[in-house]
Amino acid sequence: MMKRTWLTSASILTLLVVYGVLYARQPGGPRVLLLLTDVLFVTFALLAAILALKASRMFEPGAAARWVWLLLSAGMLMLATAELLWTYHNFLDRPIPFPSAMDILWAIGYLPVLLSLLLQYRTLGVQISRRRKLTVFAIYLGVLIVAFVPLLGSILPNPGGVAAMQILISAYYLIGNLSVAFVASLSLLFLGQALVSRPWQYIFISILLFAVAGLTFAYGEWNNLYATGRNLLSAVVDVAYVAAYLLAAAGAYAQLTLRLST
Amino acid sequence: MSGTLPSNIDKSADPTVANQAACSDLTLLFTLLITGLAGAIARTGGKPLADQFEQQLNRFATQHGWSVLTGLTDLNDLKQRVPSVDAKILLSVYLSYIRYARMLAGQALGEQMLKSVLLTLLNRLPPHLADLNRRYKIIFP
Repeated sequence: MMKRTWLTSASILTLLVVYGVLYARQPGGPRVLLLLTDVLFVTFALLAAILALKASRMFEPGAAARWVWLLLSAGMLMLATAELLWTYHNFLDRPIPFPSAMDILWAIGYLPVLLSLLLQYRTLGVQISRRRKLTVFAIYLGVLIVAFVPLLGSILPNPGGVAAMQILISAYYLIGNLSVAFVASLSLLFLGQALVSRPWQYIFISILLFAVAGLTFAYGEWNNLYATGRNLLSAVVDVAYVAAYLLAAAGAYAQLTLRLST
Repeated sequence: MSGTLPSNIDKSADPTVANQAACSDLTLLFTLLITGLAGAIARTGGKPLADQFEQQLNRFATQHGWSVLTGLTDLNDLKQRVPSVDAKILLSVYLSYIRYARMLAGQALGEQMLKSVLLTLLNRLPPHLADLNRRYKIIFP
């Protein structure tokens, strides 16, 4: 089991390093990198959806945990569809309005992912002291404020309908991500080093990466800084998204390969 | 703990009947515990993990004198038959298997969740079984 965990982590890291190197070198130019990035988003989101669906079948019909994995699978499938549409638009060089169909699909698709983690928390019947809960809550609240202030600072000087929309969308993702990460960290604190916590360790990091990627993307978009391959901020966004999808898939894979050590 | 046996066994008029009753009670509590742990593992880690838990416990039992002592093939046979052996020996054997089962369940569920599962099992015991468990100490958080 330890060997498999180590192998999974090493494989993820290797994939990310290879992508990072390709990102920095850009063989074939920025357009090839853009397509590669889009294809990776779709592939890993789809992989996460398929593996989560398989993981749901490890539980009896009607079991809450089956719903946890089904919701995660449904969410990932919608995110994969949104990413596929992005790829289509990028491939044909078509202008993308804001908010686009992909934004809406992304926003809706994200809900089952959030619900999945909340249901997981409830299913476990987490029992944690009030003090620990408050400490974790204070940390997340601090992160939320620190993360959101620079974004507001960049959006508010140009008020208007689009700015309001941008603030709402960014707040939705950030608050959603961090709230779920808060709940997930309580579940992980409760489970400790338990075998059943392994899949959720990956998914917890995946959610945090979605938060980082989403916030950085919103900041980059608003300030016209984001374009795949253009700068460090874009690299952070793209690598974080690739890693987030990859880790969601790794979480489902970890669930499928859970074994007691003999 | 494994050396102490409930007083009702010794006080019974017919030692054979009393011994068989004790074996039956011990088996019921042991089965409840193992089923409860496997159920909790299945709910949180999935059916294959719960199956592996039961298989490993079975292997441990067969490697530690189960068939020789009871004449049963494995622990699954407890669904059909109660072993007819000295209750004191059966208690000590069950306690040894329980230690192993708790170790495996702790690995799967983590100590906090294992405790919570055991407490739930304990609280759900009907009064007569809770009374028996207090004497045999089969299920404890």
